[in-house]
Amino acid sequence: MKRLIAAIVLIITLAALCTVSIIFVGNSYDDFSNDIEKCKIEIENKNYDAAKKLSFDTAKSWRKKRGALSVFINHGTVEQIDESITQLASFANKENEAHFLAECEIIKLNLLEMKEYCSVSLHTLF
Amino acid sequence: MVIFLLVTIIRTIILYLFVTIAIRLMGKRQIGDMQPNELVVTLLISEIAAIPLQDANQPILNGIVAIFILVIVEIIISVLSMKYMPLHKLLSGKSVILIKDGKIDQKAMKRVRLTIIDLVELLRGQNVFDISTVSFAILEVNGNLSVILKPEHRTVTPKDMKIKMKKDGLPLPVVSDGKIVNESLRQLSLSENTIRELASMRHTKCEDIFLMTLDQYGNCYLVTKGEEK
Repeated sequence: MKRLIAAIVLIITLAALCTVSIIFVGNSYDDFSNDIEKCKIEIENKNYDAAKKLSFDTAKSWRKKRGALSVFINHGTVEQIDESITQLASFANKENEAHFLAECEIIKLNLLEMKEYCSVSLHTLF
Repeated sequence: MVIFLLVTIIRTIILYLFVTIAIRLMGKRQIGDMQPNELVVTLLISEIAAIPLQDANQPILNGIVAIFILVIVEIIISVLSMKYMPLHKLLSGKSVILIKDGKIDQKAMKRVRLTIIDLVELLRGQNVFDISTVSFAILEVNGNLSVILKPEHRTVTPKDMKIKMKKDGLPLPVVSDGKIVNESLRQLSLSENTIRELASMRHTKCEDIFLMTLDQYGNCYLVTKGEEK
């Protein structure tokens, strides 16, 4: 009976953990994807200063969240996004549109990978 | 490098604690006594625990969640198999009678893929060297062989000789390394003073005792510190 109670407690804990991870990673994906999209729009409109500011803000909020994200997703993915987000500001500073946009795409791809890591799909299951 | 080592040390300790908790939750069993599903879970737990240890990029939580999922499944399956015999048979298999009245059941041997050499070896492990002395030999689901000898070959017991025996008491350690074990005293309904009196009757003090055991019938075993018994 004790073991069954322990199992029930574990089930509840793990269910809560799974829910938290899905919500947290999902929200982070939405937030950062939006930020990157905004950065892209600014750089496409040649607003380099605005793009630089947005990149800085994105990098700042990413640094705040990356610790918590590392609990749930592969550290390699977190580091790749970290690296790409850090480079965004420097590309905006140099007004290097092509590299900026390429880096945005890489970030979006990595963010998608991060989201898929916590979601249930045929791709992640098998 | 130092930080990386520190991370590895902390991750290893965390995983060690969680694996220990997981194995404790599964219950006390030795590898040889495990049912097939328990063995699978134990092997998988050790494999899963190794992944976050080898790869620092893997979140430790992934390993912990996987380990606890296995424990949950194992507990649920063991509870269900206790209630439903068909499930128990399906997961654990059933014991097979290999020898009946000294005769080897060759069909059963083929079914469990056991050679005569394996059978003889298992019998020797049970101190049986002559198959004709065996009344029944049963291969249990955990791979052990249970043997019942023919009545004429069994060891004579006091009951056979109609000898009345005193009941055995369970000796509990009441003093261990000079310290009184209160839990044992509670089980024996004794006080510390009684133990001190018993020690002084044997010309010693509790502090000088290495081990003192006592059962409910008052049988006492005492070893003082420095004494070799």
